[in-house]
Amino acid sequence: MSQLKVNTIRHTGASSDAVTLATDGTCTVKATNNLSNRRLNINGDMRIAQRSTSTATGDGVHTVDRMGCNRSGGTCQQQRSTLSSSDTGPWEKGFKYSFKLTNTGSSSSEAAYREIQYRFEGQDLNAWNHTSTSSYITVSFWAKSSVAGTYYLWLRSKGGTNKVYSHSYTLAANTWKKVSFTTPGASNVVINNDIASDFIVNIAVDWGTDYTDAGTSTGSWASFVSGTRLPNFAQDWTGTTNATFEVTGLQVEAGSTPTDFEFRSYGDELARCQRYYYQEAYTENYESVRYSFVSDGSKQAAQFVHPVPMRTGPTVTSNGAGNFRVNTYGEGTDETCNGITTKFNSNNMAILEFAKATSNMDGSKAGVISTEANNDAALYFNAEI
Amino acid sequence: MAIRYKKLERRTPSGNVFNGILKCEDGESEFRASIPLNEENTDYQEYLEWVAAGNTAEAAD
Repeated sequence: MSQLKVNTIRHTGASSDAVTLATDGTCTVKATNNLSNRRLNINGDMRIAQRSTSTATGDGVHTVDRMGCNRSGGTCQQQRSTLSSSDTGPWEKGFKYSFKLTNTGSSSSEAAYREIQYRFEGQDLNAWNHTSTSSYITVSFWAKSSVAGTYYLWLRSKGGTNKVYSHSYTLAANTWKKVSFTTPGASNVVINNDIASDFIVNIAVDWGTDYTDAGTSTGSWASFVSGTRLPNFAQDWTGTTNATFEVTGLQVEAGSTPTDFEFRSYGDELARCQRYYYQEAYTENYESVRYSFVSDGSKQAAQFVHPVPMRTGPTVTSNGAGNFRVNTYGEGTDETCNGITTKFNSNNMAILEFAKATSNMDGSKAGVISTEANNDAALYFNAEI
Repeated sequence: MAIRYKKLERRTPSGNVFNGILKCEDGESEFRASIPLNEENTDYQEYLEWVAAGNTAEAAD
């Protein structure tokens, strides 16, 4: 039996060691593939889009789960875009979707901006010792813009005094590029161990000069100042009608080595997304929604157990109370719903009350909530950050 | 019409208690959203900002 005794292993062309061996018989390996449980963010392959697989406008999360659009001035459309073999780069790596912004209404206002955001719960970043300058977080993603230029990734900690750290990269027009950035911790970065939005990954598409300054530098932590958050943008994406910007393969991981994107199963990814949002959509006439009980002469209550514990008690929204029907058994008191309210709400379940106009139900009876005759009823449960 | 909020009350043996907020979005005709009184809920955070700006929710039914 032979034995190889070395302290490190390094490729002949590399500037750092791939394997470092310790005197206690252990080793540290900079592996970049076949790793699991590395990705801290959810839905980085942009696969899950519970709200809509089509287009939407407005701020916030409206299409791809966990991916938000932060914008002002003009109009900007967000969507889950389907990739094809012509999307050279991400397609070969297995990505089938991107999160895409389209600048449907241009604005050259100095106050206009466009940005893609991912918001972390503070407690989900515990793998990164964010107060140590020798502990790192690495952000990788594929990006493509119809407007060539220099773009920025900036990280913002919000647990205490807001701190920001930015990186720049260039994109050729209509060409996918993978970028990776490693950021160290710092003693004054505060990320609390809680469910609040304590850390935001911002993929900046464009910020007007009300928010940028030629003197702002990248590559170091600084206190957040609204008017100097980033260097000036050389190109005018927001002023370009129908400009597009796409992102996929977003992976945020602890450590200084970018690793291969960690694909997870559809079911796994969906369940993680449902911590923040889920919906129940019904497409049949008079389709049963829940068994219920009469809680009042004009109301029935029904329980909705969330598919997974949610981040917090969600806001419950319907697409219109009139799309639901309040039914009793054989009493002839069935009636269209005219109001839905939350009687009880936690991160595990909600009890909703469905009201009708006439107060004529027997309080001892059970009932059923169904859809109305228009086969379009939906309930949305939202606990996004 | 602007965003409207209405208080939601729940009956208890000791009387009605403030239990949540209903929200009617700009352009909608009914209160479709039911918001819990939970400071971690971002819709409730927006409601508190709306109140802090000097607005008042409609009384419960």
